[in-house]
Formats: sequence, C-alpha cells, structure tokens
Amino acid sequence: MGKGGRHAYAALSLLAAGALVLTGCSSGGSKGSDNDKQDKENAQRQQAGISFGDAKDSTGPAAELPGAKPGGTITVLQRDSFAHLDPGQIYVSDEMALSQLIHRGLTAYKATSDDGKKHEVVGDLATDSGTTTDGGKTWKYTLKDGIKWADGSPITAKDVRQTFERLFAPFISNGPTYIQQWLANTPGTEYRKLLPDGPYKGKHLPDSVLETPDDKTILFKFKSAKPDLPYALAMAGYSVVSAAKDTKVKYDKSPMTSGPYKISEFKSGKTMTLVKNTNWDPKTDAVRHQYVDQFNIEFNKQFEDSTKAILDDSGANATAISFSNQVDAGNLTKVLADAALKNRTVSGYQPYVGQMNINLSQPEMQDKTVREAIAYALPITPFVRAFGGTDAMEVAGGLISPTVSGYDPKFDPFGKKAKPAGDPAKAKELLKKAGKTGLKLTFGYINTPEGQQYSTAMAAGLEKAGFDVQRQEIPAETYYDQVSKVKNNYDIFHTAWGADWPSASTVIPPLYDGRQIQDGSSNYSHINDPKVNADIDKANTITDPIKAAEAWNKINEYIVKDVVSNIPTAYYKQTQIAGSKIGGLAYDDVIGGVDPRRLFVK
Amino acid sequence: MLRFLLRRILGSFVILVLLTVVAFLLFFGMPRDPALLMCGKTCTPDALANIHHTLGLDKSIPEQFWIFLSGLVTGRNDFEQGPCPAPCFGYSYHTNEQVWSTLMDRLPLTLSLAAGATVAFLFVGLGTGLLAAWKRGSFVDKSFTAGSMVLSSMQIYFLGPLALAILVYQTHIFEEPDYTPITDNPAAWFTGLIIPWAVLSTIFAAQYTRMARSSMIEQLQEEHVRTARAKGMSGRYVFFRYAWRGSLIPIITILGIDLSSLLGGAIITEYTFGLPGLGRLAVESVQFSDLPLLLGVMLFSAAVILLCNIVVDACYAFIDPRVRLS
Amino acid sequence: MTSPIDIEGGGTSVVVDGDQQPKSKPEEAKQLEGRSPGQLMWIRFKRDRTGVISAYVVIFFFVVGLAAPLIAKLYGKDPYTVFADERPELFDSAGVPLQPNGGISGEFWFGLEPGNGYDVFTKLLYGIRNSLMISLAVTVATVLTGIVLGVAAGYLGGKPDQLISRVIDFLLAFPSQLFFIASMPVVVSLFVSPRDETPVYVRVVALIAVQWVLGWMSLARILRGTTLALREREFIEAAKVSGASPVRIIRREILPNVVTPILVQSTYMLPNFVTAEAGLSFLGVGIVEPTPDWGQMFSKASTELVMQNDITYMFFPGISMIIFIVAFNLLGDSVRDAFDPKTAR
Repeated sequence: MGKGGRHAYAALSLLAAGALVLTGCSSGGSKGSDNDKQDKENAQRQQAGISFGDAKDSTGPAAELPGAKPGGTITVLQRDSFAHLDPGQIYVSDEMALSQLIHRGLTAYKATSDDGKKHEVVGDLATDSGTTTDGGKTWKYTLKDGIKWADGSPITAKDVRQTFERLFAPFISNGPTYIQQWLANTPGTEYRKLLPDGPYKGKHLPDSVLETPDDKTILFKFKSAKPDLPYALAMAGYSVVSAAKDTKVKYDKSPMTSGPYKISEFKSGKTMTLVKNTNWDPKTDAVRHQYVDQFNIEFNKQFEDSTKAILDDSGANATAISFSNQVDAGNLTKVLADAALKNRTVSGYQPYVGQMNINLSQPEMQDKTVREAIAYALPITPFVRAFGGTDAMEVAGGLISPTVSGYDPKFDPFGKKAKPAGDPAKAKELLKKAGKTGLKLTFGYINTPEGQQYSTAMAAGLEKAGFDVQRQEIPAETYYDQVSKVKNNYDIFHTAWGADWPSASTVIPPLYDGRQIQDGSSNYSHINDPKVNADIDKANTITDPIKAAEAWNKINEYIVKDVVSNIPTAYYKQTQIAGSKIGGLAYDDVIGGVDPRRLFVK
Repeated sequence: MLRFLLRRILGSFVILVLLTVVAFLLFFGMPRDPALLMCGKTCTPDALANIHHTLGLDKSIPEQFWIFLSGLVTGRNDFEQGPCPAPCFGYSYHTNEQVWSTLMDRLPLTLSLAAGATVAFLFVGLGTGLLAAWKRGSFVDKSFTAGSMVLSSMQIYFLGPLALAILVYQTHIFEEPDYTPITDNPAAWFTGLIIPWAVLSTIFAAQYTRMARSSMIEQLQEEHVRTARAKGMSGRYVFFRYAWRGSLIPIITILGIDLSSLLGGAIITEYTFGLPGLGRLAVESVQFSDLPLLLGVMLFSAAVILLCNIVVDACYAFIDPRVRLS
Repeated sequence: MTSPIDIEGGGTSVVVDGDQQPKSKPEEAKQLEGRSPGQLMWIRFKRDRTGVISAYVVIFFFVVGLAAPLIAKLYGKDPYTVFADERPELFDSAGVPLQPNGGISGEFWFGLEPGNGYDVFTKLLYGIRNSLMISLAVTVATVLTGIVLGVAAGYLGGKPDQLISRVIDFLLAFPSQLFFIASMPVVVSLFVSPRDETPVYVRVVALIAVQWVLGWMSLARILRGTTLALREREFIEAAKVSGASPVRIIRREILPNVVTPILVQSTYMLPNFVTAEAGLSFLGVGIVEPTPDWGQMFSKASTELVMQNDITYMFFPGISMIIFIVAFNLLGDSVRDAFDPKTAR
C-alpha cells in the first residue's frame, strides 16, 4: 500500500483547498497524552498472526453484536470526496473504508474479537479462504450460493474473470498490482503485456493462468508459490466487478455493487447517500452487518469540522462519525483528557512507517560511513513536530510497523528514541573519519507546508554535523513520481509506506528487493544487496506465519543497521471519534481506522 | 451609446482571445506534465502516451488552441466522458467533471461572498464617509478618517486569520466559515459566511469611507453645488441632492474594480477561510496543471473584469451627462 | 478603445499641473529670492507634521531592513536557527513554545515561532528587509517602464500610442493574482538547475518579474495622458520650432513636468507591491521557508498551530505591516499635497 498517490493527493487537496488554515496536519500544541501504552498493547495483540479460515468460518451471517439493533441513519463526515468507486482503482484508505460497505471480494478479514484487533481471513463471495494442494501455486475458489449484484442478477465466475482481466487494461492505473504481477510472473508494470487491452477486445487470460471451468469455480495458477493470495484477494482493489455492467472508465463514477449497501446518490465533492441493498443476503456474508438503514456521507469536512460536529453531539451529530478523519490535533488533548469523551474515541496506529531514503545510486552515498553519519545526524523531531507532536507520530526504530507481525520495540540501532533530535557530534566524527566534511547532500522534499517545515529543520540538523545540505522542492502532486525515477538527483528524500496486509511481505520485497529497481518502483533507496535479495526469496516461501515474521524482521534489522540505506523516522498514529449514539465502534487494525461494517445506532 | 457598447464588447472579445493564448503558453511552460498526475501509481510510458493522446496533448499547440476555441462556440463530442455542449471548456483533467459545470458549481459561493460583502461595505463605508463629510472637522470626522486609514491598511491575510483565531479558535463564538447554499438553509448560509463578510467589508469599507468623504467634500466646492446653495437651497438638500450624485463617479470606478476582483475569485479570501469558490478553483487548477480548468477560470475572471469595466463606463453616462462616451 | 476614465484621469492631472505653475509664480515673486518648485515643495512638506512623522517611520523601516544583519549580530541570533531542536526544553512535541505569549522572554524578545522555533525578532527584521528590497525593485522597474512607455505613447501619438494603449488595456484585463500564481512556477523553472537548491535569488527575480509585467500600466496610462496634453503646450511647440530633437524635448521639457505624478504614484505603488508580494508568499508561491519574508510569516500565522495555540505570534508581522502601510500612505498623501496644495483633503 504505497503511501504515494494517496497521501500526496490528500495532502494536496488540503493545500489546494486553501485549507492550510483549517487542516489538522499542521497543528499541535497538545501537551502530550498517555495513549501510547494502550496503542502499543493493541498493536502487539495483532502480532499473534492471522489464520486462514475454512468453510465454517466463512459461512454467514456474521455473529450478532451485543446490544446491536437495526434502523437509524448515520452521518459520515469525510474530508476528501471519493475520487474512485471502481474497485480496480481503489487504493486510498478512505475509499477502502467505503468499499467495505458496498463492494465484496473473494475473501475478507473477519474480526474475531470485539475490539477489532484479532482477525482471520475467510471466504467472502467464496466458500472459504481458498484451497491449495501444491504449496500455493494453484488456488481454488468456489462461489457461494445466493450471492447477487445489487440489481438482483447472480454473481458468477464470469464476473470474477472480468474483474481480474480488466485490471490489465490501460485505464486501470491506481489499484494494487500484486495479483497481476503474480499472474504474469513479472515484476513492475510488465504484467500489462499479458493482456494489453484487458478483456475488451475479445482476448482473455488463458486457462493456464486463470481458469473458470463453470459458473462457480475459479482457479488461479501461478508459476511460483504465492502463499499470501488469500490476504491479497481481501484488498478492496480486488473486489468483484460486474461483467455485464462493466462500463470501463465510467464504471468509476457508477459501479455495480454487491455489499450490504448501495449508492443511491453521489454528488462528487458534496454528498453521498448509501441505502440498504435488498439483494444482499446476510446468510452469504460472514463479515458484514446491515444494521443501519442509511449512511449520509458529507465531504469537505476538515478534521476540525468533523471533530467539532461530533463533539457537539446534538441531533444528527449524535449519530455522526467519520471513517477516515482523525480528531484534529487542537482538540486531541481535550478529548483524551475527558473520560466521557475518550470513551467515544478509538485510536491506533495507521499502517504507515516513515523513512528517509538514502539514494545508493549517488556516488557519494556509496560510502557507508557517510550513510551512518546521516543516520546519526538526522533529527526526527522536526518530522514529529510538523505533524502535530507525539500524539500523531512516534519515533521509529525499525522499518516494520507495530501493526505488522515481527515488530520489535527494542530495535533502535542509531539511538533515535533516546536522541530524537539527532547526534551531530557522533556524525561529525564519522564524517571526519571518512574525510567528507562539507559533503554536498541534495535533499528532495515534498512541497507541502509540513514538508517545508520539517525539511528545513532536518537540513539544519544535518548541517550541524558538517553536511552542505541543498534542499530541493518537489511538487506534492508528482512527488512520488519524481523520487521513484531511477535517475533522480536526490541524495536523500522521505517516503512513507504502509503494509497492504499485516505481513512484512508487503513491505520488505516492494521496498528493498534490488531486482525491482526501475522507474516507478518503490525501491526508492535503490538498495540492491545480495544478502537481502536472497533472504527475501527465502522468506517468501515460508508458509508458517510466525517463522516468516521472524525472517522478515531479520531482513529489516540488517537493512537498517548494516546496509544503512533507509533511516526509519516515525510510525503514524491516529485517534478517531464518534457520536454518543453510535454503537459497535471499534478501531480495526487491518482497515487502519473505524470499522464501518459493524456500526449501529444505539 | 450603443456604438460605444458594441465597440467595447468587441474589444473585450479580442482581449479574451489573447488571454487564452497567454494562458495556453503559460500552461505549456509549466514544469509538470498533467498526464503524469493522472497516470497514477502504475504508470508506464505506454499508459502515459495513451493519456497524452486522450487529453489531446500530443497535438501541436496551435491545433489544440483551435480545437479549444471552436469547442467554446460549437460544443464538442469527442470526449470519453460524454458530450460537452457549448460553451465547452472541456473536462477537467483532475476531476473528470465538465469545466463549465464546475465553474457554475463554484460560482454561487463567490457570488454570495461578493454580494454580502458589497452590501456591507457600501452601507458602512458610504454611511461613515458621508457622515464624516457632513460633520467635516468634527471629532467624528477625525476618528472616522483615522480609523479608516488604519483599517484600509489591513490585509485579508492578517485580519482573516486573526478573526478566525479570536472568534473561532479561542472564544468559539462562531463556527468555522462554511458554505451552505441559500436555497438549502438561509440561516446556515448567513452564519457560515458572516466572518468572511465581516473581514472583507472591514477592509473595503474603510476605503469607501475615505473615498466618499473626500469626493463629497470636493463636490461641495464644485460650481453647480455652490450655485444651488447660492440660490438659497438648504444645506441638507444640496448635500443629499446635488453633491451626492456627483461624488458617486469615483466611487463607482473603485466599486467596479473591487467587484471585478471579488467576482473573478477572491483568491486570498477563499484560501484563508477555506471556502470552495472560484478563487480556490483557480489555485487548484494551477496545482494540478489542469489546463481546461485553468482556462475556464482565467477566461471567466477576465470576462468579469471586462464586463465590470463596461458597466462602470456606461454608468458614468447616466450619472454625469458631461461624460461623453467616445 | 480608450475608456473615458483615462481621459478623465489624464486630463485632471494635466489641469493640476497647469494650475500649479501660475499658482506658484506669485509666491515666488513675494519671496524675493527665486525658488525652484522643488524647493517650494520641500518647504510645504516640512510644514506638514503628519507627513514628516510618516517619513520618519518609513525611513525607520528602511533602516531596520538595511541594518538587519547588524542588528541581528548585536542581538546574537539569526533567523535560521531551529531553536525547537537547539533548546527542546522550551517547546512541546508539536513545536509550540511552552511559555505563554509565544515564548517571549528577555532572551527571545518577540518570542519563538511555533513549528521549528525560529527567533521571531530576527525573522521579522529579515522579513522586512527581504520584502522591502523586492518591492523596491519592483517599484523601480515599473516606474521606469511606465515612464518609457507612457511618455513614448503620449509624445509619439499615432500608431505607437495605439499599440501601447492596447497593450495596457489588455494587461489591465488580466486576473493578476491568478496570473501570478500560474506564472511563478513557470518563471522559476526557467532558472532551476537540477542538483542544487532553487536559489533564493531565482524566486526573488521571478517575483519581481511577474509583478513588474502586470504593474506598470496604471502609471504609464497617467503619464500618457499628461504627456499628450503637454505636447500641445506652447513651450513644447517652441522647442520643436527651434529644432530640438525629440529626445531632447522629452528629456528637457517633458520629463521635468511629469515628475509630480511619478513621485506621487510611486509612493502609492510601493506599499501596494509590498502587500502583493506578501500575498503571494502567503499563498505559498513566493518566498518559502526558511528564507524570512513578511508574507511567509503571515502564512505561518494562518496555520491552525498558531491560531489555536499562539495568537501572539501573528501580531508581530501584522502590526508591523499596518504601521508601515499607514505611514507610507500618509506619506503619499503629504507628498501629493506638497506638490499640489490645491487638492482638498
């Protein structure tokens, strides 16, 4: 789940919105709260690992929530309008949250505890989370009986075929690419050559790749083992698309839906109304509820606006919530200090980990001592400050998020947790030893208010250690395009990455596999270390999730401590709030926010 | 009169066309590729070329210009997103919405902002100005003059955040400014815009106080006013009947300029208060290298400026018969 | 397509100029020693107390701007030090000064900037310095352009006049702020080198250039009108008959007679350029952090961080700018009155 497009756009729409004044991101003054402990406990529970459920686990209906009752209308206050509704284009967290209500995929995450911390992967449209007989090369899915589109027509294997084939069409450019790459057995964007026009010009994926022998059965056939397929299929981006109603580009504005809710009205940038989908049968769905009659989604609500409305708690505000907005930093202290208000909040880690990339293609950056000097000198405090302080950002030790299996809170090779403002003395010493005092360091930064703020202070910190820092602004909208070019001139630049599913297999390979280096790839630091590459291959074949997590963490530690190509900066955190009449409130670690599927009106 | 108007309108069209040329050139000078923004995460050179083609960016600049111009007049049918009736500014690269409907969508806010502020600052500004002129030399006059001097030196980017900080963030007296269409809820419309109106009219009114005062005083020394007074008309009658009319000319000139800047998109105001009007649309169009939107906003703003100029000139003729429209 | 406004505007200032001479002549006669109009203006100006005080204030700002490095040296700090990292005990984790009133203390006279914790006092000094330098450069450039094009249009008449007038009409119809925002990145990209930081001077040059392109028209218009009227006057006719070259006529006869509108206009233009420049930096397309700039401080002041937690901060750029603009406007009025005592105030 690359933070790229998504947050860049979000940050930008803020900026463009002229909402500099009104954003939550650039705020603070919260005088620190003791929420960390609980967050960490919550996140560590996750590490227990996620199992793949069988047919029994996948059978609907979902277990009733205590105290839940049907009826009522929930108001949802969102900052950004939904730019994409076509599942193939969905990769942004707020669209993913919406997708939980309207789209369905072959698999889904089922929360097995009431607080949304424990999960298993179960079959959603499929009868189970998938079966494989050859260690993950061939996966078989069978569709449940009675699954229907919102218009009442049945969902068949033909729709599933369409769903995957259209992902190769040129107009699908924003969604995840894991399964396409696996099917085509190529890295990067090469996969498009497998079916350049999608299914629209009469060509289809051969049975040797994707087989649909009858209306109910789907077979995925990969060249190498892909034990993670059940996770991947649960992504919103792989939700099913109707073959009969596939309107290509226009599908993005009015898609055919299959979830418990359907879109009755959508005014882009203003409002969206979701009503019950009467063709959704709870007996076919093990993960979703349909308690609420209607969701009224309002856009353009900045963090302050949504927080203020929900705090107000009168009338419709008592049943208001936001899927993606956080409590704005200005109100955070107040909310967390008040027991009654705190009861209405949920908080946790977002999946993102921030990191400073050192571009190993630059000649001067190939000296490890220089990289170590950067790692020691780099102050993390500017980054934490720019996003609102320790309630929003936690200084990171490693590259694996606390929400991902294998996280080790004690790992911190450069002493960043003890000295978050950097250690310029140590760095100066190292630079002197390398004879590189006064080395020119080109720092590409994202041109947002936050980016300007932290980059200037980081540059000041690096200069204290004896670097000659040249800051270069990069437009926010194209930031990730620029830094993901192989030939870029930046020595260091900051990126953030979030796991697509709670395994470091969606973090380490896309970011640190040296064989992936090409324009547009997310190996931003151009690390190409034989040991890392070999270890990735090894870890990728481990089927025991606990052992796999250990192996991934070893690679993480090796990269941070021994290669020094990426300096972890911070783990992103957030707190969300709901009106007092909202029931079923839980922070779902997999969704990375409020779980919309289980909400009801008290 | 008619000939004058016709000539001005014709001239305005020429200016608008030239402006389009400049906007086109500016856009192609921008150091970013709009296609790259649309191409997304999994961009390939092929996909990029494809987007270039669908946007028409692979054609030569004069060709694109011609297509744009003819589309304005005749409408276009060559968009993937659907037909585009005249005046066709095309579809936004970023949101895929029709530019014209986006403009019309944002216009009500800008209109509301301008209308409310204008009513307030004219009322306050002219009122205080006339009062100051009437009581010339008094304490009232002096305090109004001094006050208006200071207030008119304030900038929206100072007074706006200050008002927000005090009224919204510190004391919580008002809500964050927000736009609700007047047809949906007039009360919410009013309360949502009250801070921007107050800030805008504070700054603008001060200018009108000064202007109304000085032009009134000037008028009182004019011959026709003195004649009227010599004829034995009462001071009040002369003041409100004769002098007042003449003093309107410079005020209308400035009002024309202010209105055109408010209607064409009060960029800083909308940016400060986070209001989604034409001004903010303009900033967005630049940020996203959105040529159709940029052209739409630029032409719209320029048309408003030109229209205001013509209206102001026409107004002269009605107010002051001495002005000949040549 | 010259609109009646400019005929009127141009016309009035000619009448004003015309009136001025007969009026000053008797005065000259009364005081036996001969005085130039300039001296007379100076005498009148000195009598205007508001004007003199305003002039002192304006001079103070320019001195502060010029001497900013010296003052900062004596004060012992610079506007680039990140005190949030140097002195973390003074800030919370979001970078808000812990002490009340934005951390004002004997050590930090104007407090510390929320965020990175820059010293507000030196930042303001340098901000004033940079903003004034830029605006001064814009003023000089626009005045020179205005003189050249305005006088040329007025004196030459015919085709050149038509051409220049059309250009003026065209540029006046520009939505200027929108043009600034759209053209700043274009102008900057013309200079940027790939590896180094976009140098501050590039932004400065770009800021000056875009404001210059759309800034000279009003002065040119006025000068055109004035020159147009002067051209018909006897002393110009006489000079022409005596065989003086056009260059000489413009230099010796016309320019001295348009000094008044030039001076008056430029005292009005400079503060406008200051606020426009600050507006651009406020919108984020002008000068950016860490280079201190008046407008950039306003942009910081409008962040929620400041509005929620440290309202004190916004008063430093705010009040100083109000004082500057008020003083400059008052000065402008006084200069106008001194040149032209007839105008009612």
